[in-house]
Amino acid sequence: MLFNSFDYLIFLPVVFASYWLLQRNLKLQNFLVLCASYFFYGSWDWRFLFLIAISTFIDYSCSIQISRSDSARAGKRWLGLSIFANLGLLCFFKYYGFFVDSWIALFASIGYEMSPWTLSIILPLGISFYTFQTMAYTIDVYRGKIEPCKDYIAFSAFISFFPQLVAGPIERASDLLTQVVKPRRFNYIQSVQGLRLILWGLFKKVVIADSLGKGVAPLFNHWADYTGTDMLMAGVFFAFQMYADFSGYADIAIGSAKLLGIELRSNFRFPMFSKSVLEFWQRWHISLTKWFTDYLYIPMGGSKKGLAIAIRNVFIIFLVSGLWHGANWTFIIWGAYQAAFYIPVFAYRKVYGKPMIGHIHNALLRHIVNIGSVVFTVLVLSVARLFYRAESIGHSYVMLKKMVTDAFTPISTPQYLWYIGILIFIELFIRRDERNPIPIKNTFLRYLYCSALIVAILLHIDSHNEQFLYFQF
Amino acid sequence: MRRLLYRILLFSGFFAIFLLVFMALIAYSTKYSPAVEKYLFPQPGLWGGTYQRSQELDVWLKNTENDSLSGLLLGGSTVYRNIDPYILSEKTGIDFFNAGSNSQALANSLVLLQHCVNSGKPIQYLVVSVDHVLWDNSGLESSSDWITNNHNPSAGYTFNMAAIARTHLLWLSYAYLRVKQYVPGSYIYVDTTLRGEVYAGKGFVCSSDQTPRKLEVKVPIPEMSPKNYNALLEIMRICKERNITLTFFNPKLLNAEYDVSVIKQLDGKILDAATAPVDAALFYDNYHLYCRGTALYTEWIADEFIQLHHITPTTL
Repeated sequence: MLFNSFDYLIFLPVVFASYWLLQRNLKLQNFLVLCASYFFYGSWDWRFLFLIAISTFIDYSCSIQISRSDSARAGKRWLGLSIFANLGLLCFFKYYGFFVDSWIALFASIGYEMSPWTLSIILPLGISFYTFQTMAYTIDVYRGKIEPCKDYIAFSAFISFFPQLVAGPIERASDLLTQVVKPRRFNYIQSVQGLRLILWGLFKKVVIADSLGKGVAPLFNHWADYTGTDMLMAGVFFAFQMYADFSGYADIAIGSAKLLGIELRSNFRFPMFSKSVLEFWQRWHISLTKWFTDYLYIPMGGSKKGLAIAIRNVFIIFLVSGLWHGANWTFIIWGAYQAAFYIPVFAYRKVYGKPMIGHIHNALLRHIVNIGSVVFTVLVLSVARLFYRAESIGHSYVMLKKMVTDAFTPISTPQYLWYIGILIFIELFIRRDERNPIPIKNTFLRYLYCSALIVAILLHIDSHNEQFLYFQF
Repeated sequence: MRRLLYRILLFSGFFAIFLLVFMALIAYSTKYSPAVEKYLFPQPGLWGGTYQRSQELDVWLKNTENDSLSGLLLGGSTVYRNIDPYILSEKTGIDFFNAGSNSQALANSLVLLQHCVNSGKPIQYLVVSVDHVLWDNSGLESSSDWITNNHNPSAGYTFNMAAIARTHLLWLSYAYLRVKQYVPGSYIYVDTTLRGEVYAGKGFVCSSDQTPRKLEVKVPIPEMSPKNYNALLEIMRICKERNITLTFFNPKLLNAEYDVSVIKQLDGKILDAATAPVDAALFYDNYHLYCRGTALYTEWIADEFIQLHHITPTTL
């Protein structure tokens, strides 16, 4: 079931009404969330519900065993089992094909032909998201940051909570589980905020992302018919499509959770206005960045063992992040490319203690440099998106080559720039706060604005709903 | 919770008014330029002939004083592009009107039949195409055609057409065209692009200037959807109730394997044109004939029709 589907339009109000009818009974309310979540996920492919159920059972059991362990070694064993099981499922379903293909290619390059044992594996929706969430829970229990949950229904509802199940935000037990185990009361303001976030998220997904998607597809699929400037535009359009699509999903997720009286963490903080790649990663997919920081970067030593180790750690994080996004070499190159722009800014800040712009004291010049930095960052990220969207490294290479050799030509599809312009205008002058997308105080103007958003959605939504891009991870 | 429901209701009312005003403004903008309307809503066009067909259908239905028998042809483009109602009328002595349209599914045919029989014109013969290609068709294309390319978008049957396809965009188009009718000064722009075809009258479109394409491709034959099957049963019921002689028409297609067993189970006569002696060279694709092929094809159909119903041909 997709957020931008008619099914969800029926599903959410039904869940909302039933949920608040049960507000006096927390156990039943959580059971309803669990059933709704399994129905939500199962409507895509019921077979993979078993994966979530297995993952839930393993982490529930392991976390309790960890808390009962009388020695650190025993606790470590249970933690190892949990991580092995979660990563095992993730690797099998997501990376099996990639590793087998890469292995064959490696042997073929040195003259050995291998007959591989290949499987046609379907990638379960959102496996990277809920696997990371469950792993974080067990690690936190092991580290003693949280107590293990003894309520199996509440824990299952936390793992499978439908608003954020398939594409995040990747929640922590300390934030989400603590809300799930406590009674919730209906809150009018929270519900209104939720509805507004859902509306804004739908607008971003349906009007901006899907429209840009229509411009992106021919540029990538028939790149030979277009010019070098179009290749750059392919990256720019796709960068904004990704942002509108993924942040649109996050807004609908946060909004849906608010309707159920639950607060999810923000996953975006206006990333397209970042002044550097470093800043971008502090504002983009925040829950994933934080996950990597807490569970990979810091355990590897973080920044405490000197600059060289810190740079090495950052580089590893980017490679792993690339691999997390997709089982393809293009994603690994995408990660490495971003690391190349991230690390210099990171190193400068470590050495001098402040950003480069901190040295400019003239206000006007600072302003100009800031705008230039934003534009430069968008261009850098747009080029990165070529690796992300292209089918192979060869494909991204020819697009990049064309971008350089056939530059300064007119744009073939300038109409799509309107969508980017509308998005930037709204985010810059109307939205401003990522949790409050419609901050207009005057009721008439607010209604007018909301009505305009709905009409735009109705005119753009397709009868066959476009899937969210991040579902593939 | 009550407060929230109240605010949602309040906003819904505001939104309804907003939508009306928005549509009226777009309609009014056509006084100066078609650009905004064209961007947001589909504009009528002459391709496929439905714009003229809807005009002539109204005239044909109003003409109740004609002494001759009346016949209605319903179906997809294999009906309105391949069967010449002038030849069919001349040979059978029945005044036929071709109300076929692009991808007309049986559900669409039912709506048109209901419209025609409710108009008061006595119809004695109905030829309804059971084109296998459209058996699982949702009816969206035909509905859209009859709503957008209609000379009178407020005609009652356009509402029923919108109800068939169940897409919000069609409802929006329908609502917009209805609102537009009440906006003074609004202008109807009609796209006159024809793409190698001529509207020959009585709902018939004749194509002579088409490039042959996909002739070697095998035509896919889907299962009939429950929606279309129920429409077929309803068409039969109406015909029985109104004493209309019903003929199921199986059109000739190139590279298609037919299975008319479903139709044979039903209580109706079948005019199976799959065996019509029409040369492949007369087709410009798997479905449609050039103008020069339609005369031969229609004459064969007329002869079969006469034999099937034991009609004594009379001159109209």
